[in-house]
Amino acid sequence: MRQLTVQGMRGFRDRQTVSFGQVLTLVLGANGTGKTSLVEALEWLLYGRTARRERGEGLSKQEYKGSYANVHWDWHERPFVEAVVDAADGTEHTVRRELSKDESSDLYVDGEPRPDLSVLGVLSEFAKPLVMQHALQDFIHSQPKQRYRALSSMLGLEGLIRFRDDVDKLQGTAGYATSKPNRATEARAFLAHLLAEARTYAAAGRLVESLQQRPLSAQDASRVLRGLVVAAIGADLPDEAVPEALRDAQAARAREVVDWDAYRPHALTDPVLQMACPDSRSEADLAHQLVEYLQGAGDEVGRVLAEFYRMGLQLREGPDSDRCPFCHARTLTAERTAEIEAAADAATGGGQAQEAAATRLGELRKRLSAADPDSWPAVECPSDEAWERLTALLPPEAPLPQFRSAATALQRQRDECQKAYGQVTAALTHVEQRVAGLAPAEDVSNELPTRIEALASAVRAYVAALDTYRSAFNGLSPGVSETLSSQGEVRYLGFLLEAWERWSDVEIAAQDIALEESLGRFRAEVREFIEEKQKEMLATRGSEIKGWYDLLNPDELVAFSRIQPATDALQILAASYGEEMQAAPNLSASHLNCLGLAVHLGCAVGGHTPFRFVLIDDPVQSMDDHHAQRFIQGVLGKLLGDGHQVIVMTHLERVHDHIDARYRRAHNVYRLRFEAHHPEGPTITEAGPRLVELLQQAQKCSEATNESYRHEAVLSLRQFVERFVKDLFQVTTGQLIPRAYESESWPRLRRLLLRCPGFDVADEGPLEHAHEFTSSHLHEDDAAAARVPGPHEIRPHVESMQKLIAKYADQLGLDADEVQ
Amino acid sequence: MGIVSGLLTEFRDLVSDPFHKGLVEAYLESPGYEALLNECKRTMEARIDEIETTHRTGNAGLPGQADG
Repeated sequence: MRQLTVQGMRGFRDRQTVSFGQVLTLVLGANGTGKTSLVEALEWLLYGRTARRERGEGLSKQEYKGSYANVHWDWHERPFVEAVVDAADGTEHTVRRELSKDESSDLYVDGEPRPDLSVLGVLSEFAKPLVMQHALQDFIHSQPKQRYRALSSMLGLEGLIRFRDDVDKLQGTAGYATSKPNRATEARAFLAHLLAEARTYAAAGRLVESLQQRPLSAQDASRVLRGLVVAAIGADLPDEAVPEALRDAQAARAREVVDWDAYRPHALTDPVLQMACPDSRSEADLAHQLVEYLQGAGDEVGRVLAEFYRMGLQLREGPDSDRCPFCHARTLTAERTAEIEAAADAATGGGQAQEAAATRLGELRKRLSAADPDSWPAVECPSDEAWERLTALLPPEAPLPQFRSAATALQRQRDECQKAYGQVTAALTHVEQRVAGLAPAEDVSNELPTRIEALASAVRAYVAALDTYRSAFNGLSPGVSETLSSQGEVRYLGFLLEAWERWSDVEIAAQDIALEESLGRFRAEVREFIEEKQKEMLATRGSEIKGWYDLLNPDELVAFSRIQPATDALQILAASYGEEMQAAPNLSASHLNCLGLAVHLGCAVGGHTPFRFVLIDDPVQSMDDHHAQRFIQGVLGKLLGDGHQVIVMTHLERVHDHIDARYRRAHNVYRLRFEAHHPEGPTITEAGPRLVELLQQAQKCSEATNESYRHEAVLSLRQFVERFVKDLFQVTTGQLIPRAYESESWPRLRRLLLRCPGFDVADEGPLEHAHEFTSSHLHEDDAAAARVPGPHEIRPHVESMQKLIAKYADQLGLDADEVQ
Repeated sequence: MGIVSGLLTEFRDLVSDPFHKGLVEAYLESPGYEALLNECKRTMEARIDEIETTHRTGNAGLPGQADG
């Protein structure tokens, strides 16, 4: 990371470019001067979002909306963050991200649009090279499940965990089971129905077993079904013949219980309907005409005379056809013969009238024969036994009494029709005999019209009874069918038929079950795979985390011990004198802080990350002196020793100075000061070693005529004395200045001086004099404080301090150039 | 998805079930729950088609040889 330019983002309104040292950059700035804004700008540049924003959005999206851009930004152009970085191969690249108003962003690498930084080897967020104080304990003080996700994310397993969660969802209640194709859902419902039905038949026990098998084999189950079908129909028929055979068998079994179809009402033929029609008079008319004919045939003289004529004409036939057969006179001329024939025809009951009567008789018989009740389709009236069966089968509320009454009435009416028809037939026979010239005994021929009308009336009554019967039959029919189909064997055959005809549903259901079971196995495989990966990664990363932790807490008897993964949780364990315990509730805040730092460092650096730099924001602010010292010596020492570029931000001068003093001899320390923050952004300046800066400031201001400048010179001189003692102490002892020495009275400073190896006690005098001089002009309760010393009073102290710094420059890790 | 896709590819190579491989493929192509769900649906629809085609053509699918 060479330099970072920020404009319009977070605390930066105006464009500012911040450069970083190649090895160690120390950033010193009070709270609220924009340090964290710079870190967040870098985080946003790398990933397009920040952890702080994401955490905030979890609480209130509305509150955090629009918080990437600087609050004073006027949007005349897009806010951006741009970094100049060196890649692993030594090539220089420019990475730039621009913010849009909708808070989306566009990333560019060397001016080319890119979706992410994979081109530079940044493949995921887990190796985030940013260690921020405010996030250190987030990991520890979170639910084991969240902790699991956080560490999984840091281990690079976040996406895989998402994958696992997605697979879990597939098998969940709102997963595949509820959004599968409709056909599969129907098939599963059918299988459930079939299984429930099968359980009601003792004979289908093996089918139940087969359908309950997991995995379900439709092939095995089908063999069982076929066995049941063969047993039920008594034959092993070809597949295509099975449904019909099952239907036939079912119908036959139903008939054995009650042959309901036998009671189905028939349709009457047209002649019957014609007769039943009150407007149809044709049969009655014919009967009347016949009766009139017979009444005319009672004139016996005319009939005998006509017979005599016909016999005479028959007798004359021969060679002498004009000769009278009685007197043999040739009187039968053609004219006379015609006259006799006309007379014979004219005689009552003779020739043509008889033929007409015979024709009418034939017509009437034909019509009446079609209306013979015996020729009507039979409607069977249930026998007493059948009534008993029906009564037993049907529920009490079924309209069986109505049907029985209608059936009885129909039967009675049919008997009436048969009786009337018999009467008509008898009359008709007499008419027939009389037309033939015979004289039947007890002649009832004259009653023919009346009897025909009686027959018509009976047929009409029969048709009405048939309608009533049909209604009763239809009303009862569904209940009877349902009852019959639910009867033992009939129902069983229906079950076999349904199973056979919808077997494809069973096969689809079997496939669906197989798919769901497969999802279960898949879920287990994914989980197992992730757990193995976690163990594998924790085996290396866990030891790295422990390594960082141990640098901060060497040989402690109460300390973090290990991270133990489980399916959905991550246990952070600690040990107290050999006794294992949960870390979060039992370790001290300082230990937890160290652990948080170790976790972040374990994930931020190492072979798995593409970054060779790490930015650490206020790392020791809640650590005690011992831990802060171990951080500076152990952690920073290791990071720098491993060749990492390190950027440390702090608001603590003593921490800053200690790090500076400790490492400036070995490394080129680059110093940045974040000073006052303004609407346009922070004031950032590059700084030299604080010790040198203070002395330069004292020298520069000491010669000023303005009293306030000279007052500044005295203040700087005093700060130099204090800084000199502390730096020398830290550099020569490697220890952080204990908090007790924050109060800079000379006796305390002197005690530090006397503990510095290599300090020449002869130099104690100038330091003490300078301290005393500045005290006398700075302390407000001193009378001299009111007076600002003149240049000639300050100058000797500055000069003696210049000699001192030159003498100890090497020990203090200062370059000769810097001291000059 | 860099490392994750690497791990998923590794997982895909480990599993022996073609359906499971299909799910990982679908996830790699279009990461997310929808991709998995669609793959499950697609698989089931293909199996339904196959079964119904077989039954329509009458080649198979009817109960086989009766047991004992």
